[in-house]
Amino acid sequence: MKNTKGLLVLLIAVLLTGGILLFTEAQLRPLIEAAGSGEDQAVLEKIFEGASFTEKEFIDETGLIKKLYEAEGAGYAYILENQGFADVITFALGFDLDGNIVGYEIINLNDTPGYGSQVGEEAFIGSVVGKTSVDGIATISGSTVSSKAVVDAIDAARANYNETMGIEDNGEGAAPEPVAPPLEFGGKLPIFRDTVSESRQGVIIDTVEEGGNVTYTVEAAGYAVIEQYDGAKPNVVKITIDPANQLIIKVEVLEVHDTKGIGDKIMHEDFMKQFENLSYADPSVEADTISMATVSSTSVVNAILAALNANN
Amino acid sequence: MNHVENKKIGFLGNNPVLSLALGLTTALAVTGSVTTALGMGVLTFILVVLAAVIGALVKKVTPKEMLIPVNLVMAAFLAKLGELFVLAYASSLATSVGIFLPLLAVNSLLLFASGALTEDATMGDSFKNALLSGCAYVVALLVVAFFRELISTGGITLLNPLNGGEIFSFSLLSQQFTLSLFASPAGALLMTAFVGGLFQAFGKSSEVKGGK
Repeated sequence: MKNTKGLLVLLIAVLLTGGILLFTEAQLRPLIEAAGSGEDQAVLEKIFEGASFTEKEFIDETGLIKKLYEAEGAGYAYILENQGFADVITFALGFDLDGNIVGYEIINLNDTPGYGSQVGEEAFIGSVVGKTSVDGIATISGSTVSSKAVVDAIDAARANYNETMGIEDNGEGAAPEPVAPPLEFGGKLPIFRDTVSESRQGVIIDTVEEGGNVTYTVEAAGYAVIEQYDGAKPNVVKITIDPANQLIIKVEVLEVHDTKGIGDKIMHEDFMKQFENLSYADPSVEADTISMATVSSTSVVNAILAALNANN
Repeated sequence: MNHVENKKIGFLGNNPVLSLALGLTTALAVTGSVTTALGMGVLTFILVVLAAVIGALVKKVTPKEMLIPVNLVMAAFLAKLGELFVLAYASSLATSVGIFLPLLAVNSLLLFASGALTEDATMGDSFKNALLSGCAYVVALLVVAFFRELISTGGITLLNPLNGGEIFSFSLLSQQFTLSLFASPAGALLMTAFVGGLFQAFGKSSEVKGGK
């Protein structure tokens, strides 16, 4: 009997408190939502200045759309969220009533500076704002995880917007291939140096003479070899020189075994182009190294030095 | 149930946070600034007192062996209620304490539990106990937060927890003398231990003088 009474009290307690909570929550919900939208207000204002916003219900299967606001008479703004490389990326995306993307504002972004952080930089923002709801957005090569997270979320918002507005997306504006970002050069490095340690010097593995030009194939220790990674192989560079005119005709990087996305930037044509028809008559001639890929760039310069020394 | 401990909660000696280490995790988290410490301290105080009242009422109708489960339901109820009200009316406070809002609300029940769960404590007893431990909790949070904010930022800025507007602020230390360590969890532990030691020392001496 005592037990029954105890259970009864427990049951009543659960029902009563649950009921009160449900009632309170229902009463306070508008206030809580208004307080929550206050956080987004600043960001929304940047996209649609001076508009008044109302939160809208939406259907989204991807789970990437967190909130949808209607900016009265101006358009729609989505609050989107997706897992980036290091942390969740949160941002706002605004469409006007004609289907143009009019705003892209980062709310939270903690991905690697220089890589993932590119989704918050001018170049990427410029590739988003101004597109329409049927245009695909390109990911950024070298920042694939972060930019794909953002692009997937944008796609979710585009799909939702197109459906709301009755716009048909026939896929013609599909995303172009990722655009390789322009190469960023770092410091300068003199080609002729006495300070190259033996382990980093280039090793000539093949020499071909043809019509006065000499082509050397040289192996030089890159980042992977220097850091003694398992199974590390040196980078292979082909250098063609014209000894009579003291000219480097051409430098080609044949193989890179350094870090993907970083060291392999030495394959970039802009990097190789700087050596085309470069005179080495002046002993102080310098090469541009690639920012964040200095060791790999240096391996190429060391290979060139080995070729020039071999020619002397 | 051992209820000898109940009588011991006090301001200086046996402060619930500083010497009994009740609700320490959240106490460390919300003492980064005086504003959050005050906001959460007051919330805790209200919840503890409410819990004591409800606990005493519940005890009148609940059989002894059901006291703990029913009190747990009440604890969850009050914690959620407190969270809802803070979310609705003090959103800037809710944003700054984040996940610790529901956690702290639950913690406050630890304080109240020290009084209300005992069978023979009267309503007056547990009410008194709740007032005392709630006050002691607020005071402990405020003192720790005051020194942490002062040392880590060089001054104190008190914001209105309801709307985030500034109430008053002053700056005492120049920037080169601040220690950002005290903004971090490690600094929080150090400061809590330090203030706890001070409180305990003062508490002891007053006990001796009072001839208790």
